[in-house]
Amino acid sequence: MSKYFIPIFTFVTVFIFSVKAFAEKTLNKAPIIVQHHIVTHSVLFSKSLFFGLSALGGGLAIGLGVIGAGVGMGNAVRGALESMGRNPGMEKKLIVWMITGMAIMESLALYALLITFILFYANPFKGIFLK
Amino acid sequence: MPFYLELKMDKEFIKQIARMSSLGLNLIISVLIGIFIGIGIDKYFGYEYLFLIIFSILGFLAGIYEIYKAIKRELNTKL
Amino acid sequence: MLKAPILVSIPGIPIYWTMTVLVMSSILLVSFLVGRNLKVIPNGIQSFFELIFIMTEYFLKEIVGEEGVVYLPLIASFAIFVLFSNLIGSIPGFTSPTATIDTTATLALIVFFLSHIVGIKKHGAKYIKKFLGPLIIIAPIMIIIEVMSALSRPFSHALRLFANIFAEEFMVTVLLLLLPWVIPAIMMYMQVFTDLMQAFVFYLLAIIYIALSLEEEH
Repeated sequence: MSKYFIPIFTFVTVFIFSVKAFAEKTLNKAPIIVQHHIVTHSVLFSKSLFFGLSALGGGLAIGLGVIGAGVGMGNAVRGALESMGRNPGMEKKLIVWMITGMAIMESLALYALLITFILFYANPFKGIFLK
Repeated sequence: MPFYLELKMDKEFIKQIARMSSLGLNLIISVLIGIFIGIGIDKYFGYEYLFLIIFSILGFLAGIYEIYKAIKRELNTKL
Repeated sequence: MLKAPILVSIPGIPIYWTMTVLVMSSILLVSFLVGRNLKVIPNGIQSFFELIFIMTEYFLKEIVGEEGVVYLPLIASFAIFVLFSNLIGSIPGFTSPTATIDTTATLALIVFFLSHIVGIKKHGAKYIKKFLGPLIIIAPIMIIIEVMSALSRPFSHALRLFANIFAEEFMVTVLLLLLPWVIPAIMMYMQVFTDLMQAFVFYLLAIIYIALSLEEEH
């Protein structure tokens, strides 16, 4: 693997930088009328793209985040209930530990909620897209 | 026998549950407080995001420390 | 934002102010009517108030200690106010005052300041020892972490009640908009259960936060 590391690294680096350079060149070399056309159309386009993708990303973030937390909580409750059935004397201790674990899992779902709120209400890329 | 006298047996239990169930929110909110403090200090001293990173990590540590304290207390109590 | 139709609303004043005044006046009215003719054998509403007082006294004695009975008026009035203002949301035409962050933040800040002032009064200069952590070497980092986790308590205390009550009301409103038949009624029964639960948790956390700053460091 280490034999191919340097050539692959070089290729990837050159590729990334060359893409950026090409993009700048093509934008600069386009005629002025075409540039103007692109700009006027791209304002509405970037606005709609920005809001649509923000809403899509927020929805996906909370949805996919809650799947993981829900599966984890279900597993935790199942494990606690099984061991409660085997050993009923430990019930209260087990419930407290289960709730501790569930609080930490709940915090994961809350992180997803936080990202959704950031995407909806305090998007950090707003300044770049909507000038 | 009224039910509030039966609570006598469950007092530690209810206390622990009420304390444990607020840990998840604490973990988030201490990170948020860290982020806000970091942004404030950055604006005051003119850094870009040095203190933001430091204080968000410290906020996360604060949440973890709260969980550690709660677990330590739970290990010491008898139910 | 979606809003359910509201019965009593004075223009120019936020709806939560009128609701808070309504809740407070209804509590005053009920307690005046109950307190006018107290009976030895309590019936109905009087036994409910007695239950709250006995429970609060019991929890304060068990969690805080014998000195905790001083906080009985404050904590019991918290319990009654939060319970009434949660439950008024399930009557159609009214909204809960606790469904806004202002009310819950006020209550949480009262508990925050009270607990720290009482802690300083009891322990004096030793109170700062709570913020220094277990080892003296890592104290400079530990003090930031401890202050942060102390600051996060009133936020989570306020946000918990607010988020639960707000989410319930919002869910009932959305359900009423989507399908205005049997299902919102079922959700409103669920709401009563959650209201009781959240009021109890809020009240218990208030006691626990006072107890945490009063207890000895070891």
